[in-house]
Amino acid sequence: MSVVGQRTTALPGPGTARPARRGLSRETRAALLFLAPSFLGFLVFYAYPSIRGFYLSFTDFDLLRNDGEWVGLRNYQAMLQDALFWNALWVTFKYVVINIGLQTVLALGIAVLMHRLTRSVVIRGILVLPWLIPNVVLALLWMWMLDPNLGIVNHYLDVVGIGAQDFLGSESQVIPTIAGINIWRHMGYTALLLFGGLVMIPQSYYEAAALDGASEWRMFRTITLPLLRPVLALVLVVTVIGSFQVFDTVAVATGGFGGTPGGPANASRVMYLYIFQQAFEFNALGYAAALSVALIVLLAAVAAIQLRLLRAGESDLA
Amino acid sequence: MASVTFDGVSKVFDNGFRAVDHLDLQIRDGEFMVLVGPSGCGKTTALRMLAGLENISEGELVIDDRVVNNVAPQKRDIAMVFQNYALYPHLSVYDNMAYGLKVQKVPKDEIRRRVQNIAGVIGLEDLLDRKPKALSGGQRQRVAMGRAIVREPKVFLMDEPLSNLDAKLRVQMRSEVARIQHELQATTVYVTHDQIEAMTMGDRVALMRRGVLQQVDSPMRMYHAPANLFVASFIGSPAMNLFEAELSRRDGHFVAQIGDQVLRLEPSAVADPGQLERYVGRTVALGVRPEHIEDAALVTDAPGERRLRGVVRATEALGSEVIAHLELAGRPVMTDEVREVAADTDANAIRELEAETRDAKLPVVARFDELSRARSGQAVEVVVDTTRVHFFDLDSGEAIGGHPAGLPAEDGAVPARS
Repeated sequence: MSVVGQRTTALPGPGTARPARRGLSRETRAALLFLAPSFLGFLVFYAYPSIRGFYLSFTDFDLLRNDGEWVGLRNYQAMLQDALFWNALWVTFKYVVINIGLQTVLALGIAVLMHRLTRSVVIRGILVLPWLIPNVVLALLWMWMLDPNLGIVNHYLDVVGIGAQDFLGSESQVIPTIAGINIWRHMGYTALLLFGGLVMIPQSYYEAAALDGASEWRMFRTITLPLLRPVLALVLVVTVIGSFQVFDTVAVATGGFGGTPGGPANASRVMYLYIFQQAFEFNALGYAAALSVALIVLLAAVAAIQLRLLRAGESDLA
Repeated sequence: MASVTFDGVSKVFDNGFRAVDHLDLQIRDGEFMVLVGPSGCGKTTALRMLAGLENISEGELVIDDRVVNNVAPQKRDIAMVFQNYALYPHLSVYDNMAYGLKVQKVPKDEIRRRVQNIAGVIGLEDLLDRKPKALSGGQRQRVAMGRAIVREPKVFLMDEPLSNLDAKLRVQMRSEVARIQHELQATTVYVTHDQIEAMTMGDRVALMRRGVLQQVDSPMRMYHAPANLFVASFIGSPAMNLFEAELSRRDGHFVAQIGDQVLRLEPSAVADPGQLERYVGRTVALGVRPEHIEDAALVTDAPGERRLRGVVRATEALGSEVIAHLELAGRPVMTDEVREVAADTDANAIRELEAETRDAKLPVVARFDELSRARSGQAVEVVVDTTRVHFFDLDSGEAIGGHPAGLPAEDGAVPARS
């Protein structure tokens, strides 16, 4: 903006002997005009709901009554004593650890393999295909495939003698299964992001290391990982935040065939699902808003710690 | 230390391009071999094949009696200094130098001793804790050298290691690299496109063109006995003057007709004057180094048959000498070789040269004595040292008649200046 302003002062156009009124040049006003729609969208769909959500968390707003009273910190006090809230946090945490742990390792492996072996655009395209499938479709597909009686996966597990598993219906398996589905969906996309970071590492480092006698594994440890750190940090923050927000896979896949979303029992009732249920099944919008605020605070803290630990702002390259 | 042999080695890329074509080259134990040539001549590809970073398409590459075609770079015991240094940016100078030793599982205190020793030799003691980012270009270059030296490998490879330095530092590092190599007695293959580096650093120089080795010789032989037109025009700065000249015999002497002037030749300029005989009546390329053309005003006793007339276009008085740019009536040699060398130095040079060929103007560079009074715009008469001229076949580019033995090989003459 300042550049635009400077240029106009330096080079007054024909017919604009005086500077434009109120110090705003024509170009600046045009720029503001172009920005206005998106700014309006931001205000209406982002800023206002956020502020209103924050306000609602201090009320007992009820969807049926469509009204609520100011209750101060009561929602937050209730939250601390809510066993289901702590359960939701714990379930979400388990999911995030499994999902991010496996997904990052697999994606990094794929990215490194691509970097060292192929530059094929076709392979890159295939990698992101699962990511293009809508979440609900994906959840339904896997629900069918993993069904204990009808699913193709269990059919083949039976054939090889492992025996059918109750993937989505077992308390111990449901979270790893949901994590697995999402790993399958996001792995290729994450790999591509990491691949983007890898191609920025000059080939000559690998050549120098090879002549120094380093094996592929040592090159990975001593060159790839340290130089990929800033990109890895960013990818981790984005994927961690994303997986804290897991919702549709759980809601659809655990809700099919007469199951309850979040079940069996509370084994897959993740944070987002719990917030959704509080708001739209129990109509406790005020309490749901308080849960959302808690999640935001948590995510901000996690992201800040990650960025700090991984020194994301500094790169050794260039 | 080790010897290296390229035995008919070729590199054909996937697109069919032959980057190196049947390279035969023996590098002796402890020798400093310089591979030189214009960009795209295959010198870097040859070096990368030696390093193991490029596959060898044909032929055999031997290090110390062992064929290494299928040996991974990790197993060749070779160290390389890269053009961009390729220092690991996240490691300190110390860790950069220690990297290869750590890989080899050398004991910690042994690593410390060796790194500190080499750091002392190349003047890096105070910089060991720094990251490459915090170093100047010259210091980075030293670290790259140090990282290679500390490994004590069989062979050192250097890929244009000085090309990223400024001119002054380059001159300084030139002698330093040569000194270190001499002290270590390390077999070294050094790639450069700079003929001055080639002349001043190498024990021997291998000049390549379009993937084909042109000549391997000591720098002085390369300068005084070029095997063909390409070598003649590539080596030397200012470059050798090349005229189209018609050979004939007059009164029992060989003479060369250049434009409308006639120059009497000395049979002693070539090893085998008999070969010149076969070119009588034909046009050849006559090559004269700038230092073999003198202002006639300073050589009053020179006979008329060795003189040429021309016009001074420009002079550069350097104090020790005067570089005179002259113009004669005649035709410059415009073969592919000459075009290629000209294009490699300067894209404009080739166009000027072509324009002059059309106008039958022959540009000549001469190095006159400092006492010369030649000034731009004047007509001038020059004396050619006809015992020191070269002849080349215009079709094949090959030197005619060979070069006389007993060249002033190490006479202290500095053939190339920056």
